[in-house]
Amino acid sequence: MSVREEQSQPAPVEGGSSEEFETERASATPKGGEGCDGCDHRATKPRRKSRLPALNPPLETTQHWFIEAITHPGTIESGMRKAQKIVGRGRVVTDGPILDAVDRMRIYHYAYRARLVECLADDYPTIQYAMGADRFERLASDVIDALPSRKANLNGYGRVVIDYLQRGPGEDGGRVPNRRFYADLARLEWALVEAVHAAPVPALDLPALQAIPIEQWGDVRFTPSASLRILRFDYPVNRFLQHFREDKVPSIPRAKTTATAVYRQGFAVWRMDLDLNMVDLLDALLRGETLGAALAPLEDRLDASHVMAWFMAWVRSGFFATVR
Amino acid sequence: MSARLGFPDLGIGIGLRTPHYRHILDERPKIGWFEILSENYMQTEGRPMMILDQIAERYPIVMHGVSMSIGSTDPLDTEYLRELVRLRDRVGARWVSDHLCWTGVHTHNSHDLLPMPLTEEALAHVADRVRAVQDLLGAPFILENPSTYVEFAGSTMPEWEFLSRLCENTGCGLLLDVNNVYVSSRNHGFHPHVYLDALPMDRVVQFHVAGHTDNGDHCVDTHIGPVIKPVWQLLRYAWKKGANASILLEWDAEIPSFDEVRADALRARRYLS
Repeated sequence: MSVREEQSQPAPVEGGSSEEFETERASATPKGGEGCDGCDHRATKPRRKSRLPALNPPLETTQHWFIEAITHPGTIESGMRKAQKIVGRGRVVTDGPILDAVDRMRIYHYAYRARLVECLADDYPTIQYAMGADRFERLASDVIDALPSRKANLNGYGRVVIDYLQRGPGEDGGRVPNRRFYADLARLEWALVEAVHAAPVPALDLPALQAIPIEQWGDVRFTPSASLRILRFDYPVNRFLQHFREDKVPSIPRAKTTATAVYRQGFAVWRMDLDLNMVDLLDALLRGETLGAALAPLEDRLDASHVMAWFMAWVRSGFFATVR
Repeated sequence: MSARLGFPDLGIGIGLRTPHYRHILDERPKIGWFEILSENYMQTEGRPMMILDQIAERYPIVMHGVSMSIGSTDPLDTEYLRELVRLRDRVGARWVSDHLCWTGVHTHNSHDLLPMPLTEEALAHVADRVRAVQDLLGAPFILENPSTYVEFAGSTMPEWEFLSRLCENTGCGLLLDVNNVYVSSRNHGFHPHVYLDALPMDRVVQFHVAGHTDNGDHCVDTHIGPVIKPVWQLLRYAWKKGANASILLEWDAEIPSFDEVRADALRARRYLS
């Protein structure tokens, strides 16, 4: 059986993030730096003070009003108007010495969206590049409105971009041009994030693999390392990402089935292109099948020496934690 | 009441930030301690924890959170709290702090430090939750005064009274952020000394100093740039009133080199003599 050239082991490429270490996620303030600088108010004198009656709703009602107002997808004025039904007619917050109540609320309204857009931009720098900053911000904003954060921790929030882009053509994400390309790219970038956060586990080493008697190979099962992700794509997104990292100004490619492994060794996250036979084999092993069962459907397509070479490379790359 | 609720004085520290990881691991710079943003090391078992484990072997660590949402009317997030305790125990954090704020309600999380209405109802609510957190921590919980940009029409007391009564009712400690006092004083039009004069200084376990953005008509707590002189002077003022606690510089935006951040933090010494 002959093996096509591209079935030989591709060289892995380092690149979990463009920085050596990922950037901060939790912080007291958005990294945009200027707080409400991006919003459009610049009050220079006090506005006319509100004459509405002061309200003191129960704490839960106050918080409900506040979150409705500041997370509103439109302006803070429209957010406060919409939230007013929660508390009735009157003032929940007061005018300040310079800013009026609306401008004070505007600071929170701006910060809410700015922080989450920034979080998604951190996780998806290649999508941001591919779309351009403005379109990415619109996408992120749509994602935030459709799938707001429900967890205390922002580390996992970025997953919502994949969920959004994988929605059907008739739903929100379906309106994004080149949606399937971006969905693939999102899956790759998110795998890099997951690899950063995966638990370190001792990797299976070559001597352990070589110690297995040849007659037992058909019965062995492999446990993957916690960081390993095997991804199939409809577009060559790993190449796109690599060109982006190399400042090569890539354009959106034509559809082509590709596959990539993402994994971490030590601090470094790596990407390795795979051919589809490799993916079939790895998928079966990751499902817990024995090596014999995993190889059976591929038997007439693969050469044993190449399979052995693949395993050597995969073990050297730390794909597997244990063999049993 | 012992000073700082019995917590140690760690001297001057800086917030642990990713651009400085390599420098800290390679150079082991001289600094009293590091404060971590707790959530950056939660929901992860990977690279952030691997680095933190190494740093915690060499430096005292204090945990500072932004997501407990102690003032929310949603139930306390027990999963979050259990993970917080596990992290505290893993890195040997000297104490655990968060902000007097809420971050979301009805499960919608803003991830911002939202202001509390300063009412009797809110005080009782927060006090109950602080007690629950302290039971879980087995130690006093430390609360930071936030920067705020609005005031509520229904508030019946100033923030300094709210915090003082909270300390008295629960035994919690204070993380006194003098930059936040400055920012809020500018936004709400009070004198920062009035704020500091009213706080129980023996409850101050830690100080924060930081830069902020002055937009003219309001200030925003951005943790950007060096600390301005009026903020250092508030540190001096509080210190002279008896709050001799550990000092921590936060620098979160446009972060310069470790040495530059450290140098700014050490400027605190000039204001403590």
